[in-house]
Amino acid sequence: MIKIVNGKVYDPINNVNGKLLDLWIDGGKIVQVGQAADLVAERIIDAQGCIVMPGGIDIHSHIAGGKVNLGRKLRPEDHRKDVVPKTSVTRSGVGFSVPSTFVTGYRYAQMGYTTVMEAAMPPLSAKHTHEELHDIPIIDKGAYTLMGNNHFILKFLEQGEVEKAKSFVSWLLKSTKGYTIKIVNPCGVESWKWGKNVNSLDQPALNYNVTPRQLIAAFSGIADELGLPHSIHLHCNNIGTPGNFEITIESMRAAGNNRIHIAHAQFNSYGGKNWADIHSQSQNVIKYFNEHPNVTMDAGQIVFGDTTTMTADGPWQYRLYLLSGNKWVNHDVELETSAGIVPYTFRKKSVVNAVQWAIGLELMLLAEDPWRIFMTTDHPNGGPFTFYPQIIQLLMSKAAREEMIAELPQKALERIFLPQISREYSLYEIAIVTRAAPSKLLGLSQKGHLGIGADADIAIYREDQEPEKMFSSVQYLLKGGEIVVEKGIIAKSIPGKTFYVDPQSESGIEDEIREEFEKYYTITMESYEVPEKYLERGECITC
Amino acid sequence: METLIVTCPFCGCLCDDVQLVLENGEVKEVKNGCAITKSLFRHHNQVDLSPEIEGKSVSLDEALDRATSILKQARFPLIFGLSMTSCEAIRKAVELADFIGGNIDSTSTFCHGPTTLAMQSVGEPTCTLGEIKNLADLVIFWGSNPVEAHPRHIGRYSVSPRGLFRPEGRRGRTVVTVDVRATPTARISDIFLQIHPHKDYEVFEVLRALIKGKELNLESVGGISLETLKDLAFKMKSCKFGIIFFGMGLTMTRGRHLNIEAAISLVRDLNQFTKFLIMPMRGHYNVTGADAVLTWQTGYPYALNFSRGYPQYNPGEFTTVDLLRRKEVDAALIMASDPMANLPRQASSYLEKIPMIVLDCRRSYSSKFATVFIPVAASGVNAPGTAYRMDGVPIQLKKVFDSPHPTDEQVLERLLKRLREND
Amino acid sequence: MENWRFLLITGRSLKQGQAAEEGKFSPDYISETTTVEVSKEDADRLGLLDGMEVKLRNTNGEGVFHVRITQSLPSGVLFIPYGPPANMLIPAETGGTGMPSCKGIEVELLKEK
Repeated sequence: MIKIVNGKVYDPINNVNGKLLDLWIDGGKIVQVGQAADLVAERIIDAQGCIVMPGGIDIHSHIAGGKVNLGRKLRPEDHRKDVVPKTSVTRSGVGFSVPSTFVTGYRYAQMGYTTVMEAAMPPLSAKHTHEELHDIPIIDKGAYTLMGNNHFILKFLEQGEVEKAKSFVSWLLKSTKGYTIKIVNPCGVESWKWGKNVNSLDQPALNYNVTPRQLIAAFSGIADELGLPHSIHLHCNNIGTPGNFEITIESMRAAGNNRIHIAHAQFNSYGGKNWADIHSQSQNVIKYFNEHPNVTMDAGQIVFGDTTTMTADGPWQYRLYLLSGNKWVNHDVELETSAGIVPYTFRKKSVVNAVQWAIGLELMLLAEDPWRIFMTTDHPNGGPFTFYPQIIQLLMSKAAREEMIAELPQKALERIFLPQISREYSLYEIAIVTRAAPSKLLGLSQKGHLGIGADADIAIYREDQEPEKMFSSVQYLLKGGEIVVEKGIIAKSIPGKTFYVDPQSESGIEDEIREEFEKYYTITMESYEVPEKYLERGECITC
Repeated sequence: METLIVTCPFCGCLCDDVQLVLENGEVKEVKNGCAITKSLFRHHNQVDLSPEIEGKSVSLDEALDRATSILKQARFPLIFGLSMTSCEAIRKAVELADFIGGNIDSTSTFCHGPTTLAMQSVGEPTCTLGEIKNLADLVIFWGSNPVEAHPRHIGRYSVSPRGLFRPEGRRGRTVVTVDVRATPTARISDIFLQIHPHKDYEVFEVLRALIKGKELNLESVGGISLETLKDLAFKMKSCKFGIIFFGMGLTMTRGRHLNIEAAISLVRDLNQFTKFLIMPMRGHYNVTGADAVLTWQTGYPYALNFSRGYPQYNPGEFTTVDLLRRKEVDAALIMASDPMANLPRQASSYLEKIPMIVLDCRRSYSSKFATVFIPVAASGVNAPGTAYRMDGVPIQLKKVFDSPHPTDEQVLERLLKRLREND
Repeated sequence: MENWRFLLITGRSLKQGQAAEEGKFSPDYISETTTVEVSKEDADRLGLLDGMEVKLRNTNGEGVFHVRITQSLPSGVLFIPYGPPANMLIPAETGGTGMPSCKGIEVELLKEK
């Protein structure tokens, strides 16, 4: 039994706001909160001068799989900036924007995170995603299965066969051991197979008579009907494009009253007609968000500095190559999806980058309900996850924001609202957007809080006036009741779990598609599925 | 009689539809495999192999003890090979290299290493093989001879198959081969351009200029007339989906990675006009997996060194041919490869002078010179595992026959255990 | 002995791949990897016949190979499948790239008298 004493506990799900509470941990779970005369702990952690929070949960990050690995291979220059020697308990590796797998786990843990969701898994290479997740230690994880440009889905919806689409979604989630439906630039990526794209919700995919609007409506309905713990996760059309705020609002509207999560909303909240007049439209995006409780979103905040962009949005990544002139990797996946990778540097002196920086913060600060918005950088697209503490500081301190704003070009200031916003996040709210809310949205009821029965995933931070300093490194991290980080150093490396779902639906879809599958794919259907053995401690979450 | 569906563990095609017809444990028939698949599954017998120290039969424990001692005493050891075994074994190899602080390198080093160098410089617009099957109407083989090196490639992926948007199959595609000699691949192509050795870079750069409409004051380049190249440029710009498959003709000749940079730059430029991609023809069945595992665990795909306690990457310094030529390593562990048969003699001869541990599923050239030889179960034949096809698609390998020998993953695990105990 | 200069290309052949699976000490493998393909044009010019033994050498090493006349090579170019005999002729210099030059290497061909 372990006991944590003298710490100020922040546990929004249980309405605890900085109260001094003892926590008792045994068998990987929290067994008691507060005084307990009858319990004896073998190990006591003194959290004097510290705050105690549930382990952080990152709802959208690119940490494992084919495109992440192509990003790693592409950027030896990124790795050389940040070498990580081995220790007696840790493997060596490299960090910065595309860290190696072991370092990914260690760094998230050192920052106090215990659950991270891989945001985009192509079904054809799902085994690759799971092999990499297997080699990311400590944290629990899951992966979102890419479906928004899948040949079979497009075909079924084109024919009006929504029930078949639903069965297919269910089968695909099971086959790939995925956690939810991920949609990236619906219909656009399919058109990209021929070098094209779509620019409106009502423009059909090049070779299928289905529009993004229809796809979003169908998928959001399917997710709710299947009872998936997490909603559809949408990377909107026209990402990164001036004027795209309208399509973002229309995309949210397309889901009607069904649950919908908008990924890295910052990249889709732009007004203007071109790069010369791009400006923030966060207010309009947030207005719709505030008025519609079925919508959730994550920020996709950018960080000034060098990083590696990588998404399944092939055409967008090609555009980014044309804009930046940087090296460009493209990887189209047959019948399913695509990927693009381009290194990129966000510069303070760039008006566009300054506007982007402001928008992410605006979205977080203008959102009225902190239970529906999450802090992310869309790692590594906006910036490496190791910069989360910097973003926390910016959310909590208007002064910190003003310091940054002072360095931005004057032209940018005319296009953003951030200077006018005085809201400052409290620690309680930070705990909501980085712990409590993501656990609720993911349907992981045993995570994100410190009540009795919760997984003992606990982060203890030394209090500091500077939130950035406080959140950069934990004093202690417990994962499943094991002390894995002590004084900021990895004390023990243990494997984490991989969550996936197994929705119930009509069986038989595999037999129906088998002939076509083996006709057009280049592997057998048997090769396609991911056996459980690929998952390190796989755990199925019921729907 | 039973029929098993297996994955062929030979080349980068990684065909997963091979049917083995077995009777009493013997292979009676091999369907859907190429000539090499048939040879491979028929010659799977490992009965006569035993662990050896300096050519004498010993027990596995004795061999492991000696191997442990070699690795422990080595100050600059090299782990080499990796491309003919499963990802599970390769992970163990990286763990071992990390632990002993040695060098680790895959056969990429003398195969598509230059492709990696080019990719790290300019990127790589590519795809999975099904995109070719379903979309491609212009297929170019440049310095690559799949008919002999990847026998089912043209039938299963790139030339003949009827695809979703290419229902006409072969008739819907124009096939071009660019090579120094009239290979069997050239013979099945619609157009064969015979290029002079070492002139690929110049030809790519001329094509780049031609697709942009530049006028050039040349009659020919690399033995190919300007008119022919203009025609090729036109075909490339006007196709709906083009692909260049390339091989050793580009990686092994003058210019090395610069040839590939030029090829990638051409393909990248073509995307202003149409959809065009490029794909290296990876040779061994899991060299792509070796690339993948090394990259995700260390950040770098090959030419790795752990002497400082963290991964360092430097082709030219930590690449195997250079390490051996300069006589810098003092011990070697060879796994899933046969460097004494494949490396230039001036490099491989050094392996005879240092303690060498060889893990192989058969009696290879290298095993003859090994200080310690440990026979291992063959992945995809005697042991299951995961491998990555040339386009990065992961596919499971199956176990078909039993083997009296451990897998290389198990051998490495046992070595690690002994090394940790001795530490 | 007469000698002539050529560019040597080494590469895969189907037979070499098949034979390697049989084993690298099999007669098939040894035979295939000691075969040098010569263009008909060069063979006629130099009086080389199918099966004839020739020596190839350069600054890296030398080896004895038997001739196979082919229509597929241009004049001035020889082809030998990958293997230990060909590796005697390949330099181990990589120019800092890690990759030796296995194609387009200068060699002399000597007719054994």
